[in-house]
Amino acid sequence: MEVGVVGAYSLKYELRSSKEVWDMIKEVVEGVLGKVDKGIGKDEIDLVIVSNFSDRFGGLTHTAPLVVSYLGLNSTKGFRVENACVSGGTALYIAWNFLRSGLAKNALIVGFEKMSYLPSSMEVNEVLMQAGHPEEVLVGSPFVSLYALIATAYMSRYGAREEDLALVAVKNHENGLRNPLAAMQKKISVEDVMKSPYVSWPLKLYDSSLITDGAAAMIVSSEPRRYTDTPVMLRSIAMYHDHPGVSQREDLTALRAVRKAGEEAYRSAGITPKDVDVMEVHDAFTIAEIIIYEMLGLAERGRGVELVREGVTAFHGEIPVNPSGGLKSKGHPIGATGVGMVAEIYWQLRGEAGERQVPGAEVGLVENHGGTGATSVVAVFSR
Amino acid sequence: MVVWKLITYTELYTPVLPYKSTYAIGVVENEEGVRRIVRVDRKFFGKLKIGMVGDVVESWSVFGTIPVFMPAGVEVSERRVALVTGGARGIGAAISLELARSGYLIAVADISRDAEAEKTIKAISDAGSKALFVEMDVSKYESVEEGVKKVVGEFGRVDVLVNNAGITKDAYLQRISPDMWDAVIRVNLTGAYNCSRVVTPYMIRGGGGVIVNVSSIVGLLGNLGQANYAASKSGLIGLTYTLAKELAPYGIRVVAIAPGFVKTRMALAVPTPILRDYLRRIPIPRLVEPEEVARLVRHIVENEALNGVVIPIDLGTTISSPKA
Repeated sequence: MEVGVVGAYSLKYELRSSKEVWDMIKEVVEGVLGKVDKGIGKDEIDLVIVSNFSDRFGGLTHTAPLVVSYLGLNSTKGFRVENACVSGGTALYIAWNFLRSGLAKNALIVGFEKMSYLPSSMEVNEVLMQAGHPEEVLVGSPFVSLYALIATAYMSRYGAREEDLALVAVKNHENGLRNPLAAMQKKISVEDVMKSPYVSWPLKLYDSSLITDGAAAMIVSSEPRRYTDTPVMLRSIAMYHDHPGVSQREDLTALRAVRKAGEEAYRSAGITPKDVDVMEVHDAFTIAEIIIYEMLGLAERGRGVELVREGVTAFHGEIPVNPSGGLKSKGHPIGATGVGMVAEIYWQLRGEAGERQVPGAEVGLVENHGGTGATSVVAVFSR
Repeated sequence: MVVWKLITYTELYTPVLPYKSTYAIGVVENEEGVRRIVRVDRKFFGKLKIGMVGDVVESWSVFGTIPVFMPAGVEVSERRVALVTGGARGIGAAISLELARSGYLIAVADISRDAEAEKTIKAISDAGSKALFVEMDVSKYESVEEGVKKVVGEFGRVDVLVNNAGITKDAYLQRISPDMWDAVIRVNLTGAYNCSRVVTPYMIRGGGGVIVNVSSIVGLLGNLGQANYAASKSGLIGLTYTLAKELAPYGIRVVAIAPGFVKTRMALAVPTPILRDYLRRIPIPRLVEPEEVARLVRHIVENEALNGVVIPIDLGTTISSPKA
């Protein structure tokens, strides 16, 4: 059975939105319904999945009935999913299974997060930290520190330097300049990254993704051609886990869940990494993108930095990664993130990505993960 | 004893709730391959290395018992560094000497290196410590930046900042010219802002510190003929309260002291009849000795429970009636 994306919509991500979350949700629901080429009736949506990490980022739970109510209270069923930063990827994974099993025909996925709802980054980081291993929470390790533990081990083993990591930030900010949806449209240099203050050594402010407000929505259908002549087909989707604690992992510099999910997604789609034209990956911190290259088979272990150094993953490179600007420049409103990544690939494969269009992109991949990679969802799409 | 080896680490400079503190975090492994995530005290900032061995102890907190890694054989400098502005004379000289006696290396910052400065520097070395004279105009940001760089270059760190530099230009309101107003605010209040702003990043990287702002009872009570001085000293109190909240998570405490009239050139410049009248009205009719103020500063530096308070040292001035 075919499953395809037939519509996507996203708000511009913002560092501090003046909108309340219920208004953000309403706007993306109406937005995506209006974006389906041949139109779709509200009563044709039979499944709603809302992706949201924490009620402390917006002050709202039990959001599925709100969406169903916006749809006119038909027989639609819905619920919220929380899987840390991969809540969006998880929503798509569930929708795919519902659709493939015939339990639903058309699923509306809504992702949102209003992280500025809390007054300080000290509180935001506490809420995020709770997605780690209980021992990491007890010690008081925010995610930047957990990724810093990975970065220190990686740099020590492979001789990568802070300047190498900085190149990822520079690339993604460069990409973000072309994306009107990006929260921070600001060109930065390696020097800017190096001069930015340490948040958790060796990671600096400019190595880190943005605390952001945002919402995005998409519609996936098991009868995609009924709603558009140019759907973006979901060729495969895989989910894998790793130990939640960085200290529990045999290899501190690997992201097992990403590797396993990637391998399965490639296999199910019948492709190899070389067949992918464009990727959106989970660059929560610069080190993550480097390791993701290696886990997804774009580079050998320890050589991920070469891709960004040689421009292979740059916008005009062989395999552009994060043409949207990524979590780094576009932003990372947790629940919206995975949904927004899929929306980007949808636009890229339909040739609707404007200034940031990767020419002739036919196959796209999304890698969305939660925690320090304890859960990863990898999905492959094609025209 | 089980030996634990550090296999990776990070230094967290961005405090997170509920701990509101900076510290290092590491992953350690023992001979049997058991791994733990551990905390490491911020005094080891800049000294951790992969492969370092040590012990893991359990540290009780209200939030739970936290495993803490204690690296073996790592030298943590016990020579702490204090920067005292206006440190060449008066209260500043007494503070410099008192901190020198308790083992601090002293950066004496003052506007010029005169005979009094030389005397203070000699007293510091006689006390068995080391003094660095830093020519600094606290009212000028660049001068403070340059001076602090010199201190860090020479001593490697700054643990204590005493914002003591102060001037008076007394007159009743109509006689306080805009220049007299600005001069006092710039040295007494802007100077403390300048020094705090420049020194703080070094303190954070060094694992914390203490800022002592020398305010005055005049900042609490007001005083005839001292509108500019009183405003600057009250300003220091607001600065203290705010920085105490902002900087506590980084291990930096901020405390203000409010001395009464102290036996220094500044106080003795007050016309004798006014000074006599003041003494008649306070419970203990004498001047505070600079050394008494210095001992209070040393206590503030040592007592880690003090933060965000203004401590009067005034022989009872603030409880005198009518108010001084």
